[in-house]
Amino acid sequence: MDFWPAFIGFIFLLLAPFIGMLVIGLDRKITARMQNRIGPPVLQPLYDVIKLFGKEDKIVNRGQVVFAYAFFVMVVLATSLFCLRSDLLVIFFLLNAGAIFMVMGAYSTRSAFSTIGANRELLQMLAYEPIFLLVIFSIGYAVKSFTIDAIYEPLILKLPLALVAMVIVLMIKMQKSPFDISTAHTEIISGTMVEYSGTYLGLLKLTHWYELFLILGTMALFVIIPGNFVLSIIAMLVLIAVVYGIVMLIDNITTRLTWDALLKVALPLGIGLITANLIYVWYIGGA
Amino acid sequence: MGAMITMSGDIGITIYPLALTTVIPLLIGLICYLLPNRYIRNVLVGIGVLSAIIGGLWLFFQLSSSGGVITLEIDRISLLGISFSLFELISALDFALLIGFLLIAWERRSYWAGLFALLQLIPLAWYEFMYMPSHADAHGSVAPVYIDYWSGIMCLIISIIGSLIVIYAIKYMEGQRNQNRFFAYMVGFLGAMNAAVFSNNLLWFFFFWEVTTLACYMLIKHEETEEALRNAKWALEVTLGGGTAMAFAIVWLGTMGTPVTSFTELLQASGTNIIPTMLILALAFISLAGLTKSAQVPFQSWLLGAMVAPTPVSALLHSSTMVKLGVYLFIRISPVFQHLPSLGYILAIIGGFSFMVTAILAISQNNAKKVLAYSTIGNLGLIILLAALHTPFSLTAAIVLTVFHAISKALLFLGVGVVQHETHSKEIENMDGLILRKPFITTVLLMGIMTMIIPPFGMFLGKYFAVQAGLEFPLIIFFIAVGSAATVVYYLKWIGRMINMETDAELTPEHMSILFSAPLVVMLSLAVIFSVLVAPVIESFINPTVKVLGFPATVSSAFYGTSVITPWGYITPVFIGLFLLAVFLVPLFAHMDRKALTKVYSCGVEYPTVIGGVYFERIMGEEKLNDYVNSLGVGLIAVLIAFGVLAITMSGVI
Amino acid sequence: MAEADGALTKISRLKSPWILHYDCSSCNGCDIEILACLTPYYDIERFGILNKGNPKHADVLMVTGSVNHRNKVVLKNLYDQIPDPKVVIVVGACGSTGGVFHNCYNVLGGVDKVIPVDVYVPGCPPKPEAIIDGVVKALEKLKALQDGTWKREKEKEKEKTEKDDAKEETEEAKKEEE
Repeated sequence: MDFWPAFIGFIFLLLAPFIGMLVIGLDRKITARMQNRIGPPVLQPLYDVIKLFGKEDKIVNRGQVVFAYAFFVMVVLATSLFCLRSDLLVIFFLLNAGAIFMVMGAYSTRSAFSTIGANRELLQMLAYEPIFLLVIFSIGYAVKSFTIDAIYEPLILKLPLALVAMVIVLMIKMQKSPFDISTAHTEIISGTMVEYSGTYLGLLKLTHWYELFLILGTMALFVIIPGNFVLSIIAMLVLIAVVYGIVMLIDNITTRLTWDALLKVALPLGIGLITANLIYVWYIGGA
Repeated sequence: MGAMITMSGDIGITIYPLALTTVIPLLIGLICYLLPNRYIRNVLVGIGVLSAIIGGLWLFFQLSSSGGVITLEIDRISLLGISFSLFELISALDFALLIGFLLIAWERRSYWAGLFALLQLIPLAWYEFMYMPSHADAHGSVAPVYIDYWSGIMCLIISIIGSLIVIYAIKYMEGQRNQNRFFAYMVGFLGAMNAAVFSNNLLWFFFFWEVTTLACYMLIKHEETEEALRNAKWALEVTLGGGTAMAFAIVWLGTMGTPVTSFTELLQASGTNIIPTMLILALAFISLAGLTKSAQVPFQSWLLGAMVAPTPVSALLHSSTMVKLGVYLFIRISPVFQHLPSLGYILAIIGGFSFMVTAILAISQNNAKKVLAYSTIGNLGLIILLAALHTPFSLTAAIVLTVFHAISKALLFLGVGVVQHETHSKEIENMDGLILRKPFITTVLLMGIMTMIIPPFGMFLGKYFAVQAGLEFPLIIFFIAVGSAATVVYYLKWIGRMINMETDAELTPEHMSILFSAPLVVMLSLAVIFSVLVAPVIESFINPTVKVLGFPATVSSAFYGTSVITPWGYITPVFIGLFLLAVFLVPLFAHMDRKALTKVYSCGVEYPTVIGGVYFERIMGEEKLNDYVNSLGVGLIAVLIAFGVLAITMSGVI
Repeated sequence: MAEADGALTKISRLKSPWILHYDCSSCNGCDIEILACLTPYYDIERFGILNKGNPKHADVLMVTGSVNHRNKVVLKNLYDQIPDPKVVIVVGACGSTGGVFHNCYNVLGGVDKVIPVDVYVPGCPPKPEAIIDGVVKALEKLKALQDGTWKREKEKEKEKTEKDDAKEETEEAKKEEE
């Protein structure tokens, strides 16, 4: 393996949770400004997680702790594979496995909120997993390989609609309205995370940062210009700013959809976008 | 006994493992039928399965030393001084079987079964008694027994997984009536199934195919309840319908200009420049037979109804072996699809559609065995989809999926069987909090389900390969995407019901007979070990199979067998497996402070929480979806048959 | 616990206090004022304060209303589920002493009859500015708690009994030696 790409990958792996944290902090700050108030400092998520790590352990049963660690390990494994520019499909399935473990952790306690949250998380998976898999498939179809190494031009040239579909995945994964049925704070008190406290809640939030990094990273793949490092970084920052800005705006002006509305809106929209894009790629000879 | 068995033709040493895997189980089945004594019967059953396992392994060694293909020209057998031709023996048995089906149809007042049996009897009688004697070359000159790596792998699956299930059944059926009949059909079925995968001659294959149909009928109706009889009748009707399609196809193939009487001739004939049109029609009908056997949409109802049978039957026939016969057929004829790509694409869409639709329907099921049945149908659809895509990579994926699915699904069925045996219920609602009452079986079920959906295990690898295979025919990726998401949903819901536990509760380990726990542990170990070591497995078993079927090997292993490399990506199961192991072994060594345990949050009050499962019947239930699913399925089958019929009218290469 | 934490942990605790807001039997006047603090006009989220509905996620328990025989169980249950370190703020007159209801047959009195209280914010209802003052005082107490410069009454008693037990044991051991 070449030294420089591996070294840059390693640096990104170390920075991954911080990047996730900064994006979430900026999200809260800008949301607050949109609501005509001052809002917390940008480093607030860092303070939250460190405070959580310093709290006393209070758990319901041992199983949920094991599943929280399993979730964390799978997501960090996926992130390290991403930074090593490995197979995108494997990364997707590892993220998937992580989410599966989190749902198992939520199911393992006999709590009404937790179980409802887990049910909703499964429905959410039914909505975003096909779209995510189709986005990765369309990347593989356009590039004729699933490894990140093989991407030779900015994917946005061939796959613009796939990027839009990826925004839907981002909204569902990051629990942004109108797709936030799983941690519907006012309905089920953060659903799957209800019975976690202290260190393990901090672990879940940390894993959430890694997940955000991964999804933003997958979107950044669409604008990477191989060979030109500085221009790629600038393009990535611009893309993330634009995309997350739109997501924040939609979050603040929409309300939550019910689960069948979620399935009826998100799935056809995502699948329709990818189908159109795949037909386009096939037409211009990407096959 | 003083019998003298001589055979003519070129046989070699292979006859011994062949007999061990086919003749001995069939004979032992016959003897079991007549033996009421339990102890002798159990010993005999043990001998039968042992002979199948030894025969299977021996055969596989023979295969590796003879370059992957063994053919046997068995013509005549001399027994007690009387010599008769094996062809005639099997023909006679076949007609006896068909008359047996007519009698069953008469007894059960089943018009469809009688009609189908008649429709098989008449053309075959005409073909064998009038056509063949007057046409000298109709018999074919190809060896009737053809064993290659694919037959070898199927034989290993049948012998090893089947044997574990039969051993489990000894304990499971304890105290029930008619056990001699039950074990006769179970052990005899192993022999018949092995014989089917070794047959090259189409008539022989057809005979053993119908024997498995008979075994299926007899085993489903074993408990003789009203429901069992009804479902057995329906299963018989659907599978006999498939058999009729195959009988028509065989007669058409045998009466062509250059007759096709075996699989090797079939593959040869389809490789020519101008494919005879009757061949295309026959292939469409053979595919139809395979689809009915594997219970694809719209034929899925017989398999769902067959779940009333005792659990060992469901495990053996309806997930690991009998329904795999359809899949075996598709992979056996897969080189054909290279020359008839349209047929392949139609079958791929049928398989993919089955996969997606059964995954969605399984979400609304409360009966655990029905969930597993839907899962089986879906995975078989996925295998058929991959086989019909006829590329070397998709074929590798199909074989990998077949092997891992057999192991994992048998494991899950046996686990559900233990739950049913101990708690007398197979409903998921009654498995609420099962981890507290029965931790061992819950852990086994949990790990079994994890081998189906989580990397690095085998079934996940199959899905990984399937997505990559979709690069060559993107239409199927939609089926795979929605289907695999729905798969995760219904398995996780089930796990959720089982591991739901109260705070502070102690786990009470349960006692279980060794005849239950040993097959479960062995199968779980096989599933895990083969998954993690999948790279050497692919290099040593599956790549040779793909090559022997006529395709180049596209998947390779690297880094001393830890990585699997495909043309479009790579995965390292060992790496992922180690992380998973670490994360689950840590709790064994971690110390948990009892002071840290607290109550669940239920707004401060302490009512005992009653939690039920969700099944979404309103939008994903059977009542809502079955009409659409079945009509679309019938439409797809109509397209398949129209394809074959149009080939005749438009005579030319399609 | 207190002295072993790093500096960053101590700072983070003060910068991110999450509240659980529980209404014992209040007329909702104090609750409306607490929620008013979360509106953009007063915006206590700029101090990192989030209103979590879940005791397992919370550090600060804000209680309003007086305690009666029914909700004392609930209050104790919620208090036990909050992980250490935690502080309790009582908002309003009813929670502090029972307020106008303190002689009723069903009212036990203020919240301190059930759980140890750290800050009282009197008023009927107190203004949001007073509530914010109360939160700041609670944070100061949290700082003192984690620096080890202040302990709660109950903990002081517990420590005292532990010290006495230890003294007795060493005296007995000495007696046996002699």
